[in-house]
Amino acid sequence: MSRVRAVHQFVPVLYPHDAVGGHTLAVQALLHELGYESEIFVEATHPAYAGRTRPYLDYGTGRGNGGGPGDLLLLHVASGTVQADFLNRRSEPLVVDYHNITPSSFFEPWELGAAHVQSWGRAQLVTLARRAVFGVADSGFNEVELRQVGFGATAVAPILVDPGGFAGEVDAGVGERLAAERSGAEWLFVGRVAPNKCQHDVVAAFALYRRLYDPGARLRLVGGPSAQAYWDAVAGYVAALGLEGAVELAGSVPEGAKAAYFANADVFVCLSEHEGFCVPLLEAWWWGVPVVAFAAAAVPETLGGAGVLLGDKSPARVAAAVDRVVRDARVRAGLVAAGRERLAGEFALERSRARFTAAIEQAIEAAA
Amino acid sequence: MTAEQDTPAGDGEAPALDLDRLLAEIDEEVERRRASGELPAELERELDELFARFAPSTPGDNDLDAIVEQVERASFISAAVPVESGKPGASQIKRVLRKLMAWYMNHLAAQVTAMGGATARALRVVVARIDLLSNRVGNLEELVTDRSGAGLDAGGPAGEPDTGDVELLDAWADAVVEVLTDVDGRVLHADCADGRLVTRLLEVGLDAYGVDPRRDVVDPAAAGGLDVRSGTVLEHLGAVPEGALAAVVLSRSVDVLRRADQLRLVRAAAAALAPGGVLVVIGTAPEAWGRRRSPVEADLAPGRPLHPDTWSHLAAAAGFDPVEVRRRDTDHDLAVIPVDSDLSSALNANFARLAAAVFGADSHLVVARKPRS
Repeated sequence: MSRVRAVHQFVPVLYPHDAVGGHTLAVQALLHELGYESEIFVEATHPAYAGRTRPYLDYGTGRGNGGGPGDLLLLHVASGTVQADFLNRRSEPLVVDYHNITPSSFFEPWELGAAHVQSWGRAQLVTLARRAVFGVADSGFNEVELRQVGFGATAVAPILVDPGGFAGEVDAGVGERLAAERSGAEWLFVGRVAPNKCQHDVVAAFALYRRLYDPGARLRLVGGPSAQAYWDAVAGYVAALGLEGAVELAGSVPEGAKAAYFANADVFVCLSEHEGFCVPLLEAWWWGVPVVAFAAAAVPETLGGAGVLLGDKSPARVAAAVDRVVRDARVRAGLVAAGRERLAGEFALERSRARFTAAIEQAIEAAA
Repeated sequence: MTAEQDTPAGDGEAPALDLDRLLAEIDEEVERRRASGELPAELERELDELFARFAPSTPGDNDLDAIVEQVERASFISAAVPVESGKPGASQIKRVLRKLMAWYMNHLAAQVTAMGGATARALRVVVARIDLLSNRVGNLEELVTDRSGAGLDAGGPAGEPDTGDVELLDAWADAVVEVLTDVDGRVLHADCADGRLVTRLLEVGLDAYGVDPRRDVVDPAAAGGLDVRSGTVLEHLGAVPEGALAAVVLSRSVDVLRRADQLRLVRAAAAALAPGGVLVVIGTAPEAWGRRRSPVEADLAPGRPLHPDTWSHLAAAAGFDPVEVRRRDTDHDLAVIPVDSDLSSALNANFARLAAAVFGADSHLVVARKPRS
């Protein structure tokens, strides 16, 4: 092929305050620094990014919309997308940046529509394996999935997250409310309320923790619903346990409020059964919040020893782990230090940028 | 000593943690609470059961009736859009909009509901027909599995790993290695048993891995570091991208699959192989089938071994060319008498002919090559 002059990105929607959205923007900045033209093509434009993205159907139509020799296309995959079908029909070399697709089995009992989108995405990934010249994965876990569906050439490059970006202004109002409500240990989990993230397991462990260790503890679940039926079930479970006053289903919150939740937390508890990377672990480290997590999917790889990693998530074991982390100042300090070290080392932005640059260079070589 | 390592931490530095020790201490804490009665065993189970009250029923993949019920429930489309809102006045606006649009939304919802209902009824008919077919065909694998407790064609005593096929693998290992020496790419062996042939192929520098449905055989091999996976060969080949493999070696299950599945297997292998790829079938001779298997297993297995000529025919039909057959003679011989005369020599020669006629070949190797273009 011709020398690569442009690396254009395709992502269904570029959302603000979203891991893939932030990564896409960071990749664009990196590509510009490397001397490549780079536009972001989307299915729908979010108002926050009006003027910064282009409709994907405009790609290759002239008027500066790319297309043809010299282009390398980078598709971000986290679910089914019509962009995959569109790009499969084009001839420019294609690279997949895989952020993981949650297995549809998690959603099937709860929301058939969401399950369909996930299984559609998995089926598309198989066809993309034949079409793409290279696959980039956020984690080794994701890379294994790429290999399993037939990607021949792959590399791991962590999602581009600037830890400095976590330092947003704390919403003082939310912070004051949380401080006023404090009556014991403060548990936190941040992530979409979704069956694969298993917020109900966090609630179960929290219920036992209050009974055995700290009757004044509170749990904050921050994140909007991915499946309304699952949200309703978690809310019903909280009510049935008599924990309405102790568990807050905060929903999706602005960045300042999220910062306040992290600043207020004593422990971050992640009992998710499927994560392709898990960016909130990095946020917890940045805020100096120790992590207790269940060893599933990419979580052990991302955690890398900077947290208490549990091989099973029986409520009793989770509660005991949280108690130890909250009560034992030396354990807590050790975990916080390990998290900050990992954030400044393995996931330092410059390091991740260097790894992504190397992956792009490999992709360009594979396309040649 | 507790979870903090006893290395001194500098001023202001956090102590390094021994996470293994910390986890052990957490486990001890849980056990202590359980032993003291503070943590009754039923408490955690009750927490699970309580959440189950809020979770929808989750039909398994094979529970067709429950899945159809799920479709039926989902087929009713309501036009009564929720109007609740936390924003002042928004709820009233939504209510007005819903009322204004009701004539339109109700019309659409009625049509979609009708379509959903018709689809669910069609599924009911399909399920009834599948039930009818299932009853007529029966499920022979279950009969065999129930007998042995160890899989489709268990060769060993009940409860013990089935490794009855490894004798054939050992007998043909050298020939398979010779056939595959020059292939370039991934080599699949199914059913791989304890991975012995995979190991041989790795030793000669091939990129080999294995699949076998028997977890009790595969898991120890996988724990030992071999790339062997649990699963059936048909499922696995169905998930392999076209042209991803350089060679496919089939053994064991090729002898007992149903006819339709044996045909599917050849086509699936052809699709999974790259141009120039090699298909190898290690099969039991039909004449030797009854001798190599227990009578119950031989009678109840859903399929029978194919003659090597039939494998050749199927391979050729799937586009393989050339196809070569090698046979291994039986090791069943009739006893010979001491040779002390022309008569005894003649008798021994006749015994040999008789053994060949009665016992015939024991097994065969079919080697089929996919054309490069």
